[in-house]
Amino acid sequence: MKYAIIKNSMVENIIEAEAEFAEQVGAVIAADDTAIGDFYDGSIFSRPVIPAVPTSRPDQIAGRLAEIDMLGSTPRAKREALLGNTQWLAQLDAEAATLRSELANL
Amino acid sequence: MSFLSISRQTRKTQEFLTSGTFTPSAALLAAGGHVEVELRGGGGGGGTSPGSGGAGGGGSSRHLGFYTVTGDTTVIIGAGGTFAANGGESSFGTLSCAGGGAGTSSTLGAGGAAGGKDGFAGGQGNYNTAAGPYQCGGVGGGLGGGYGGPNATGGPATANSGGGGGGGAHLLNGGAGGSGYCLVTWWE
Repeated sequence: MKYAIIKNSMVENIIEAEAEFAEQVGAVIAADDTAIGDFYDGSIFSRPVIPAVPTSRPDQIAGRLAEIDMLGSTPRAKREALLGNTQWLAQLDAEAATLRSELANL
Repeated sequence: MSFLSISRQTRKTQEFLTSGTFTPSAALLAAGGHVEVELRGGGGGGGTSPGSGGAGGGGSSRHLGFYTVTGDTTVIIGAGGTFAANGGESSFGTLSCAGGGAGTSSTLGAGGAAGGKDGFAGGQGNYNTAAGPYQCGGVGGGLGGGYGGPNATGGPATANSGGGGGGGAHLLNGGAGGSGYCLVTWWE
């Protein structure tokens, strides 16, 4: 069974143990989704809230275009080109063209 | 007239699959208390991704160390990380081995960090537009690492392997990492 070792109200480690051993070291039963770094108030585990970074549509498009650029230079891309299979790269190019058009019209 | 006394020592081992206490025998303590310890931390959990396959969790290393016991010694077995969570640290007395890192949950994110010295990083998820499209999760790092298949949740790593969980395909959860392990070997 999984137990959490708590230090300063925070999960320091999660261990596999039997109940008797866990009691000896002061560990508490971990919830299914408990992770190292979670808070523990003595009865409930909670996850630190990381503020979401607002992402604008232009940033999303730029990010995806960067991924497509990267995919176009992978070993997979070179292999497909050598095999004469242009469908994969063509799909990437088509997606990039659509995104560039959307970006230009924003 | 004198007689030569020859004593024959026997190799002994004790395996820990869950946390506990190593209690040395009187013979081991009389022989100096020297033990060899093999430790593995828990593997990291696999991640997922909104735009590609999730990354696999990192696998913990197999850490070998020597230790001198003088009495009961605490053994901690780190748990495998759940979905997108780091694996737990394993330890024997003051020897320790870090757990593997969680697979990241971002598009084409990196595999989980290797746990401990010479651990194994998880695999990166990938994105494939040729067949659908579909996204394939990265394989969990280390021996016993989980499978990161296409269009499926990530596979769990083998228990007590310290391997990382497989990454989940697009928006599907990654698998759990394997728990840690400890083997104590000595002669008495």
